[in-house]
Amino acid sequence: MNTLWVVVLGVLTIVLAYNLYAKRIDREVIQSNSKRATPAKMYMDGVD
Amino acid sequence: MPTSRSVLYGYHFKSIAAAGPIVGVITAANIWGWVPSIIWLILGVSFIGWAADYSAVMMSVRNDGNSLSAISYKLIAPRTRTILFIFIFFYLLLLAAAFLGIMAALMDARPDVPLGILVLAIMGLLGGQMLYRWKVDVIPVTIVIVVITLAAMVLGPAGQAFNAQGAVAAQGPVGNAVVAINNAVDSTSGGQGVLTTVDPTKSDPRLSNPKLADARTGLIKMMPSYLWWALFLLIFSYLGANLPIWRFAQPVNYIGFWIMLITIVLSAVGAILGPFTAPKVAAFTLGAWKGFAPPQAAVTGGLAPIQPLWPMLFVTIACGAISGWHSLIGSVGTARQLEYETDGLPVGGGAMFGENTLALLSLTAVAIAGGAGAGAFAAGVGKLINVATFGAVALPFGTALGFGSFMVIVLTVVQLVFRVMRVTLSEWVGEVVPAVRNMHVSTIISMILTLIFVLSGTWVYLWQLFGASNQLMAALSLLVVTVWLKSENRNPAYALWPMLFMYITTIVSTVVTAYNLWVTIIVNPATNSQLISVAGAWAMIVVAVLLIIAALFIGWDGLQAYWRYRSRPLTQASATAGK
Repeated sequence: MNTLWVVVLGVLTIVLAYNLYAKRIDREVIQSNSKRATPAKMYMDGVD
Repeated sequence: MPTSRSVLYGYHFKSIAAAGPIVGVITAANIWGWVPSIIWLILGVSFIGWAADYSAVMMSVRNDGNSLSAISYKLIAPRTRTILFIFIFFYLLLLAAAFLGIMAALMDARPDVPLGILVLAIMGLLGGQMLYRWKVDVIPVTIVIVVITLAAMVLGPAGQAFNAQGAVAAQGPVGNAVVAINNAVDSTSGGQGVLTTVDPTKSDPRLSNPKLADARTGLIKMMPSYLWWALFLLIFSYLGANLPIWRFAQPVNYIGFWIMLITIVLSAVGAILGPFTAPKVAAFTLGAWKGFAPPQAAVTGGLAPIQPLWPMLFVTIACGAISGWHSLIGSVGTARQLEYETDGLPVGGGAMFGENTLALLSLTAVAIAGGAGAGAFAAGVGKLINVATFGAVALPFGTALGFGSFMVIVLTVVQLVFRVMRVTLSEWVGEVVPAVRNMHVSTIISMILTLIFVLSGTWVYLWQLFGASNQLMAALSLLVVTVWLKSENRNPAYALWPMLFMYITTIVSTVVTAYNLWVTIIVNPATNSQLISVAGAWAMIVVAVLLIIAALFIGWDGLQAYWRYRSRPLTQASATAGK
């Protein structure tokens, strides 16, 4: 085992888990929608 | 304010990544070997970590930017809000104490580190002033504040002399000035330690400094200079917790992001080049597997602490795989700044994958360099930077930079921990005791309690207790998410199963840690005569019991809420969700 394999594993994890699993949950369960107003846009109070 | 996705990613990433992915992974790899650690890092982040962070952000976005506590008041039960306040406050107390303890030990043991931290504070103040008062463009501000902070981090170890083993033999001019300060502070006690502590994991950076620790017995002296540096870090955090966020916390966080990014990228370059240009450096030397429950040294009297892989690995590796702190910062901070809903995944989930890379770097560091705690991180990063720069940055110098980078990464988060802590305390107690609503009062109370825990001295149990409460916080956040998904008639499976796993694991681990504390300190003849250590151990056990009770209440109320939404027809359920 050497350092290169850790980099390979890390990149694979991000590519696979993010694209195959996380994106699917975002699309099918949460159904995020860029047109729906977020709290930041609804209030714009300048706090935080 | 709506914030662009890339800026928010950087801010969120730096707000979540601290000592958890570094020290936790290194400690775990030393106890159980690197194989179980890397497996949990990868499976944890893929199926649990990103889901917890992302869901906390999205739930808050869909609930008018409300915090977890406010949402649980509406969705679960009114009392859940109060119980969560209590849980969050004591959990943050453990978090602040575990982190402050390592940082103060590091500042005390490494005279080359403090200058960089002092300059970080000054550059934070300057950055806020330039960006928001003088309205200077962000690029020149970035160059000025990041370059000057980096220069101070380099100046600290500049001029050091090293012995044949690569250890510091003589400090440079900056280091000598810091040593003079330490000696002046220590002269108040005649150069004696205030009390002695032990660290069975050998993570404490003071162990490498013969003035502060006896290598043979492993006894560490808590010097007045240690308290002095703890105070210095508390003042830094005080500014971060109480000044308007743009004036200090945010620019400091911004500088921290760049320093963390430079560290990760340079080390990754070293990790990729290493096997080709320096195969000896790049090869793993740490044991791959050390057993399910590696035997621990017995304390006098025959009892020994226990470290079974399940549940302890899953709380020792704190933030690299999943973390409750992320849910807190995500739901009160990040969610209120999100410009588009579709940014929730790249920011909330993406930052978690980013933090996982920091954890993998720490695993690599300890696997090639050995050692424990922040020292292993610094030594490994030093080696990787040496490889990445083709030897231009000498090994011991790279190690010193690794220590500095570690400090910057951790401290930028600790100031935010105190910020969330004082808000939690004033919301929880402020209704009964109006004085606590004053931010200075609530910050000072938080800091005094933190110091008491730091002084108790048995760092590894404080760490595991922090890890357990941190993961339990994540489970509770996932629990609120599960109930929310059910109330909206969405499929909660992706949050429900991770929640159950983390909930059970963390509660069992908290019991184990309470037992370990009892064995190592309270019945141990070597420490049971030291009032502060024993009082600290009891305080931690009491907090552990309190956290379990709070979690059981929330779990019970959550279960009932879940059944309530489950047995309700859809229309009514959506009406209760308040939309």
